[in-house]
Amino acid sequence: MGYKNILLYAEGLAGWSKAGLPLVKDKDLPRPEIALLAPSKVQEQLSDVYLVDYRPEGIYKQGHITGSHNIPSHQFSRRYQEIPMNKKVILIDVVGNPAWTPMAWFLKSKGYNDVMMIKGGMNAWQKEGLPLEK
Amino acid sequence: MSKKLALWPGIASVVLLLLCAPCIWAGDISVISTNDLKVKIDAKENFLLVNALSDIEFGMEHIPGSVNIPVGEIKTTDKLPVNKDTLIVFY
Repeated sequence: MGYKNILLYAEGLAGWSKAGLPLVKDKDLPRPEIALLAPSKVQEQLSDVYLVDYRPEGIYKQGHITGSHNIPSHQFSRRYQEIPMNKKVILIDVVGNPAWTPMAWFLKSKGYNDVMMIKGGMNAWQKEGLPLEK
Repeated sequence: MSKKLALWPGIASVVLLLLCAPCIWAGDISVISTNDLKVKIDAKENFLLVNALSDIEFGMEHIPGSVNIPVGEIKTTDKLPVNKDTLIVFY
């Protein structure tokens, strides 16, 4: 794309906040604790849940859980209604960090009550040697 | 939050590869510190500060003055500066 002057602020939000500098925050969005389900437990109930993998499409295509649905995070606010409200929803990202679950908080705010995440994300799924579809 | 930060090398690589591939191979991408970034903001320097996460994450918290261009939209966005010499800082 030809841009020549690019810098990376690698410390990011965490570094900015740690330095005591202000962030613009949406205080209206509740951030409830989101339950985490171990990969093996997810594997046991694959047919009963709706799996949403919000990693980028290119990464999803390299290997994903069979039956999961890819809604990349940058499309999530436009496509979340593809997710049925009458099923347990399990969200999948790379690391499954319980302290930062924005898509789960977003779904909760839209009326989805039964939302969980895979503990440890796809990293944990792969570490446990569970099957991947490509 | 630390895990979120740990994702950054991957996300940043995608952005930088799209924007500035020759720089990557030359190893020219530099990192800016918190203090230096604050100095630029306070001095109202002409640069674009970009949050490359999703709009949902951007809405939850972001650095004042930054714009949101998710990684997946970097090729189609109209938020990038016309002048390709303009400094862009990603976080």
